[in-house]
Amino acid sequence: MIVIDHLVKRYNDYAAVNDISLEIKAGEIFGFLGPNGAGKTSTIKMIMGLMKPTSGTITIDGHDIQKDPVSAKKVLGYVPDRPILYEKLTAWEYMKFIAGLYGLDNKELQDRGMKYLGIFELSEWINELVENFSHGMKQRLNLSAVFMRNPSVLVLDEPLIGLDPRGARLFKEMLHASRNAGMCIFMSTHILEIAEQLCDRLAIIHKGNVIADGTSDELRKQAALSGSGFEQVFLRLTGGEEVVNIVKELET
Amino acid sequence: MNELISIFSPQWWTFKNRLFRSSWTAYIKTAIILLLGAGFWASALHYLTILLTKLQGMESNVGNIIALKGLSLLMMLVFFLLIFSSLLASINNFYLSHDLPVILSSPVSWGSVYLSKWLETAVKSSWMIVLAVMPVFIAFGLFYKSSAVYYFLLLPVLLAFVLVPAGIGVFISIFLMAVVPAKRAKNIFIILGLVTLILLFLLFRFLRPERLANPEWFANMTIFLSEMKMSVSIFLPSMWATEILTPFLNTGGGSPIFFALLLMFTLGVLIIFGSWLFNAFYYKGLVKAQQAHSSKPFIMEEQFLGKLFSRIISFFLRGSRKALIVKDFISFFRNIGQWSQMLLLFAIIIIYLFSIKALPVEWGTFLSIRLRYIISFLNIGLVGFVITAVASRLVLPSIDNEGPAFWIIRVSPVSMKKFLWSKFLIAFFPLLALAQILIIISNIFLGVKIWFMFLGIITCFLLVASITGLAIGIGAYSASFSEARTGKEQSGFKGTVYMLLAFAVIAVTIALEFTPVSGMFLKEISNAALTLKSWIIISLFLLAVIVLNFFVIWMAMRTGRKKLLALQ
Repeated sequence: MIVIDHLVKRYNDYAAVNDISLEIKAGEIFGFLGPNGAGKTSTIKMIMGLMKPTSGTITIDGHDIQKDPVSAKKVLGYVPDRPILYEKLTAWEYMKFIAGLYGLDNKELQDRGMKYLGIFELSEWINELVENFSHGMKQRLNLSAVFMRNPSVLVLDEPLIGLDPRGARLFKEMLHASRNAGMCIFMSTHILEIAEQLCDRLAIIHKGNVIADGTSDELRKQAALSGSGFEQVFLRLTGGEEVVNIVKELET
Repeated sequence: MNELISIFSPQWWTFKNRLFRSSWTAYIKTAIILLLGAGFWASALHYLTILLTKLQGMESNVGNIIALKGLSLLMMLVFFLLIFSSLLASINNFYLSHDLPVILSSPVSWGSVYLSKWLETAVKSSWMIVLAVMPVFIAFGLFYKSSAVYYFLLLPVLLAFVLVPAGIGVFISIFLMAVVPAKRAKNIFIILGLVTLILLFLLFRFLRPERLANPEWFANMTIFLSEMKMSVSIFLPSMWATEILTPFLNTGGGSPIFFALLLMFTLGVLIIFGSWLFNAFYYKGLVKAQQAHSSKPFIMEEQFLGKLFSRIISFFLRGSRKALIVKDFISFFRNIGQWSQMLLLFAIIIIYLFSIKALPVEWGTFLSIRLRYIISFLNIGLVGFVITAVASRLVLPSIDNEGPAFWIIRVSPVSMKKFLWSKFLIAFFPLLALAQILIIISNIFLGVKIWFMFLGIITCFLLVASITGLAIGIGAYSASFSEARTGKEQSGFKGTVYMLLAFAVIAVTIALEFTPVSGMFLKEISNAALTLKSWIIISLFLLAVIVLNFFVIWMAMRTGRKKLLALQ
């Protein structure tokens, strides 16, 4: 569903993404991990067509995002880390707006829109302005709008920020159900426990390069840390083990 | 003092970084703005000197009286403008500013908060107006060959003068925010808009500018002089500022020290009473401003206007274009800040039509038919200017108004072309309606022939389309979707470039239509048939007008679309 082929993004001499290639299939949750500034957001922005690659291609369900963005975006769903929505719309108007943009008919809007607003516990807030929502409520509204469309490819950038434990649990269940229904899910996160729990496959990006790719057990093997915690694996692979020494120093 | 320095330090560092760490494009933009400003100053000085020289040529002391009266009227206008401007600025600075959470959660004294916000309001609301009126005072100084004292006093007097309306604005805003119920706090802009509407209308009726179009008004010199010598109002600080400066213009007389003391005393009273009011009511108003968002929004389907709009839109449009237009419509009407602008727009229309109506209607008695057509013809351009001014406030920022939520459009399967044309459509029809109302009613008042009426209608259609296209195109080209910019007024550069380009299009359109209009006019007064050659020339010029305006729309929309597509 998502094919990334020799993707490069350069800002002058600096390579934010340096020749990465990945393939994520339907019915798979793919976790994209990496330290700050590793190239995660640049990659996601290029997948979504928000940024132009320096070279390389990205195809979404067979459509090149650069050459045929409209067809690719029809099947894409996106949940950014910060749910910035139109503040002057009510929750229901926002759902109607999204339904209009993606060509959903009125029946789909009524049935699916109300269903997901209900699942994300926003039914009683449908006539409230988005500007009065908390960060978590905005994220739940955005998730409702995305799931209402039932996209075949879902891209998530730190989706759990701001969600309360109940919202986070709901979201995880939704991801599992969608994956089982054949959705292709690409997710970036810093919460390693969630990544390990949710994702079928993971990739770690560091300084623009994919340095490890596989299941969580395969990554442990690559780090030569079988049986260790995933945090340890991540730090070993990204060269962040000095953090452990700093922590020790702070404890003394 | 240290607290004040700390509060203002972010502004100072921002200014310093802008000065030394900006991109070359930003330096070029600043240089262009400075050049335009210098051009404005130079031309204002030049034309004012010519005007003053002409006035000097009038019999007895009439010229001097008119000149000084004009200066008083200008200062009075500035005074009222500054009150409104500082009212808006003070509500923003005292209650809605982004730095409030940081400042108010720090152990800074309330006295420092008051003074810092007070100064910020005064500077933000008045710097541009002070710069604009400076050449007027300099022209007076140069013309009357004033001494150095005049120039030495000019800046301090103007500064003291602008601080008074700023103080009044702060005073009123603190009071309003304290007495307006929390649910209505957001509607404060509507109240302000209404107040301005009434003030503008009263001021306009007080000045009665149409009198100047009637030569008979000048007939009785005794009445004229007695009216002119009457003080505009001795109770207005604008008069005090004029009274301080005019004795140094070599006109003699007056008591500048008295008026200077009066101005300083008023300023002191305003600051002290403002501080008292701030201590008593600010916290109450601030809490209200925070709670103001709890009011229930209007739901489009429940309102007559919303229902009507929804039906009209559903009849013509479907899918994403309908979704985009409905979203903009709802957002516009829920943004209370836009309402005060709508009220100002209403005031402009009334004043505009009133001015046309108030022109002497019995043209034949003292003006030729030719002049009637010249005025009607120039009226098309004037309508274009009004539409440009309105579009610069409402249409030019429409792309910026998407704010950081613009990612929703960018990740959707809606092309940038469709997005921009949706913006165009929602702006074009209301502006077209406004332009046609102005041109049709004013032409009825002027009593022009039907062919001229049609020419006005068609030209306005084309001009509104190109002016709207320019606003959308330039808005998209220079769009900034950062949170800091959302809802802010147009930055100087973008607005200036837009105004200049729009004025150029209007001027070229009017110039191109001059030949056809004079041809048709000559045919009308001589009753002679036009030759084939004349018809061809007329048609070619009219075709050029159509081509020009369509080219402007195409070019502007294309440039804007390319820029949005290249966003990273």
